[in-house]
Amino acid sequence: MVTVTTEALQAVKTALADFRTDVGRISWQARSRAQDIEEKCILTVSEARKDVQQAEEEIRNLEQKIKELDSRIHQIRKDVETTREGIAAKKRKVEELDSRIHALNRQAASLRRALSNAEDDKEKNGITSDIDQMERETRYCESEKASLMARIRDEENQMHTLEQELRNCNARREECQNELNRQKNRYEKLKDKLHRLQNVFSNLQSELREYIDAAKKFEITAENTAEKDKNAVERCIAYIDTYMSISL
Amino acid sequence: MNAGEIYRDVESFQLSVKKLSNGINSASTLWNDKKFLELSASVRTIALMSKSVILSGEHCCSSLRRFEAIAEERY
Repeated sequence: MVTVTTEALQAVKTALADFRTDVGRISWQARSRAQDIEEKCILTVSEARKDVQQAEEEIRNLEQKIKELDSRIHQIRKDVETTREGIAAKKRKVEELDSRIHALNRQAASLRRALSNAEDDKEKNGITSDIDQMERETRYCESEKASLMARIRDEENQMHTLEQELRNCNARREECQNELNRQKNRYEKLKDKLHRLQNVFSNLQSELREYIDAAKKFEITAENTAEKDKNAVERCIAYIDTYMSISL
Repeated sequence: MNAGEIYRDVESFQLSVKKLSNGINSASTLWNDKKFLELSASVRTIALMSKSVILSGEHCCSSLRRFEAIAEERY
C-alpha cells in the first residue's frame, strides 16, 4: 500500500534540490581552499628557511669578527710584551748610567781633592783635564739617562694605551662570543622549526589531496543520487497530480 | 592561512548533509511506505559517504593548526 502526500513529496523534493545546490561546488571549493592553503604554507616555509639562512649568515659574521679580534688580541699581547721588555732593558740601562754617574762623581771628587793638593801646574793641568773629561762624560751620561727616561715614559704610556685596547678587545670578544652562543642556539631552534614545518606541511599536502579526492567522490555520487531521487519524487508528484485531476 | 576557513567549509558541508537528513525525516510522518524506506536508505548512504569528507577535512584542520602554531614560534 502507498501512503504519501504531495506535501511530503514536495518537502523531499525541496530538501534534495537544496542539497544539490549546497554541495554542488564542494570539490571546487575544497580544491580552491587547498590551493590557497598550500600557497600560504609554501610562503611560510620559505620565510622560515630565510630565517635559518640569516642566522647562518649572522653566525659566519660573528665567527669572522671573533677571528679578527683574536688576531688583534694576539698582536697587542705581543706588542705589550715587546714594550715591557724594552722598558725593562731601558731601566737596566738607566741603572747602569746611574752607577756610572755615581762612580764618575766619586772619581771627580777624588780628583778635586787631589787638585787642591797638587804642587805644580803640569800636575794641576793634568788633573783639571781629567776632571773636565769626567764632567763631560757625566753630562753625557745624564743626558743619555734623561733621554732614556723620556723614552721609558713614552713607552709606558704606549703600554697603557695597548693594555686599554686589549681590555676593550677582550670585552668586545666576550660580547661577540655571547652573541655567537645566542645565535647558535637560535639557529638550532630555527632549523628545528623549519624541519617541523616541512614535516607537517608534507603531511598536510597528503591530507589536502585526500580531502579533495573525498569531496570529488562525494560530489559525483551525492549529485547523482540526489538527482535520481529528485527525479523520482518529481515523477511521483506528477502521478499524484494526474490522479487528483481525474474526476470520477 | 587560517585553519578556521577549512573548518568552516567542513562545518557548512556537515550542515548541508544534516539539512537533507532533517528534510527527508520531516516527510516521514506524511510518507510512510516502502518507497520512503528506499529514499531514506539512499540518504543514509549519502550521510555515510559524507563522513570521509568530514574526517579528511578535520585531519587537514588539525595539521593546519599544528602548522600555524609552529609558524607562530618566534626566536
